[in-house]
Amino acid sequence: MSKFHPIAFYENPSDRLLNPEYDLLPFSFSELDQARYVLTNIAGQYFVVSKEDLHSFANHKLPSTSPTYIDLRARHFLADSHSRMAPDLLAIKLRTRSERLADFTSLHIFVVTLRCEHSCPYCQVSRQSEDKETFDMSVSQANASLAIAMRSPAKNLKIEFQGGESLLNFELIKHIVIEAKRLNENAVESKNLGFVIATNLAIITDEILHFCKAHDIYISTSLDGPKALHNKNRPRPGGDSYERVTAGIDRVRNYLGREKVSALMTTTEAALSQVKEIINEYLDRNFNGIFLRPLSPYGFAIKTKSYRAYNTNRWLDFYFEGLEYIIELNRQGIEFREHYAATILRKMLTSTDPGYVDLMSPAGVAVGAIVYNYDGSVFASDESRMLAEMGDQKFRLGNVSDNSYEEIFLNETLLEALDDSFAQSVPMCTDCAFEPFCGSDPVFHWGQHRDLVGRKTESEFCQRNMRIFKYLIEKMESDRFVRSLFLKWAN
Amino acid sequence: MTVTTLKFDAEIYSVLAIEKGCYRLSDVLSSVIAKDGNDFLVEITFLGKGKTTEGMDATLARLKNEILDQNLREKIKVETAATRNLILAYAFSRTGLISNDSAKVHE
Repeated sequence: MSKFHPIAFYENPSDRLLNPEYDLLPFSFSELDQARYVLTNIAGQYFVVSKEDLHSFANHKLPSTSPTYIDLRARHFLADSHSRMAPDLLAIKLRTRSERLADFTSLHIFVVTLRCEHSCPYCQVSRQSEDKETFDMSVSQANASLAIAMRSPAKNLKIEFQGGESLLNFELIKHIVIEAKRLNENAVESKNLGFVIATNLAIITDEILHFCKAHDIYISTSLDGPKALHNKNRPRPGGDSYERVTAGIDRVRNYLGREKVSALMTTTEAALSQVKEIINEYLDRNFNGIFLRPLSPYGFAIKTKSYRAYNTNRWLDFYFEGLEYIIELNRQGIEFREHYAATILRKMLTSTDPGYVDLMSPAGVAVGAIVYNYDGSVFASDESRMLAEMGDQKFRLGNVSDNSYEEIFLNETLLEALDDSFAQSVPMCTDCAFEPFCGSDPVFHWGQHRDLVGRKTESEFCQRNMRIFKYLIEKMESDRFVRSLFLKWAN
Repeated sequence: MTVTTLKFDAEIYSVLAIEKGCYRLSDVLSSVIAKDGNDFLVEITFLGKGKTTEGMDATLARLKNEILDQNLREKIKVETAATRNLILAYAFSRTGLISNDSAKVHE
């Protein structure tokens, strides 16, 4: 069967006009604004139509000559006598989007220590002071964690070291990297192993850099913005966090290569009025993008009231101001992207799921990532261990010393969270046109509402993401430059 | 407490569409749905700030539009059910995610 129409299709257009019958293919719709609706088909492709066209279309009254009809057919919202392949194509796209489900747990987070020499008030993991050796992961716990990690079906395994400040237990990082490679070499089916160290870079040394180079290890660090803001957000003895992280970024680049270091920022109340300055800092440091992140409701962010210092709307104002600025930079020829938008756009504009844990359905807990805590406890996600540090052990799946792979991954709490987090069966999400771009975050909703699903009318997760989805679509609909820019970010 | 009742013809509106519409606005109103002959009666109590006449009128208009949308969604869902199942079955037919046992259950 050809993907092209036969010549006869074009020879007598009037025949087609007389035969306007078509079948609806499965789709959802949601209001974009007062006059327009967003439609998404079962494979997540979207299309914007007027309210009138939506009703004509759904009631089989849309003329086959209208441009909307032709667009809807091209994007697999309807099938007529000229597009009988549409269900097959939709199935292939849907299968591609869901491929990650069978290839699960690719990210394994090892919390090698909870010690940290910083004292950030927004810290989401409730760090401990530097001298408490009791907050370090032991070698036997690391080995047991590795044994579980290596059993993951995923072909690509990323091992990420987190803290506290992970480099305070660098000896264990070295052990885990070498042992993981040894296990992989002896495995029947070897995996593609990758390593990332999350560090504030304050205590990086040449020895550490040498090891990173020898083992192709990536560095992920924190840079909150210009010097005054960064040092205010991230206090440490000497008040020189900014000086250390910027010097560290330069050292890593010189030693390992420019692409080996990435940075993340966290939005505090003090950051809200400085989005352009923060973006400029990333530009000055030669990063090609930024991830504008809100605070998460865990750890010291709750204790110190940092999380409640601003609401969702205030953060969205900050985010949209930043996005507008980034779009203007690109218009002036400066290539720069916002990574959260790029992740969503990938879901909107391609058939590939980027596997971003917060935007997965069923939830990314344990399917996308799993956490081995410093004491051997296993958690369903990074946020789960943050919740546990606040005294809520809901998402603790077991302990590497006491429980097998099967016991951990068939844990009732995990299965319940996965079962409940199918957005397709959640009230409101089930009918939402933005569902293919969204996800469910059972840990967030449990933390906020003591319910794995939460009521979406009151969910900050839902409010925040819905506003972003609508914003991105509205920008693409109204500005051709933005559409082409966003296509580039998605691919 | 301000209470209003809306009436929906049961021949035209499904109770599921009315339930979903009310749920979607559950941050600004609470509702009780009852059957009265050939009609559904929805008793609405307004919550929180939007209790001015203008606020209540706007909320009621939103609710009516929402229920209309939900009714259309139900219709589309029924009409496309066979195609949706076909696409899902084909999409996951070779993934190994469907076990022989579960396939037998659905035969």
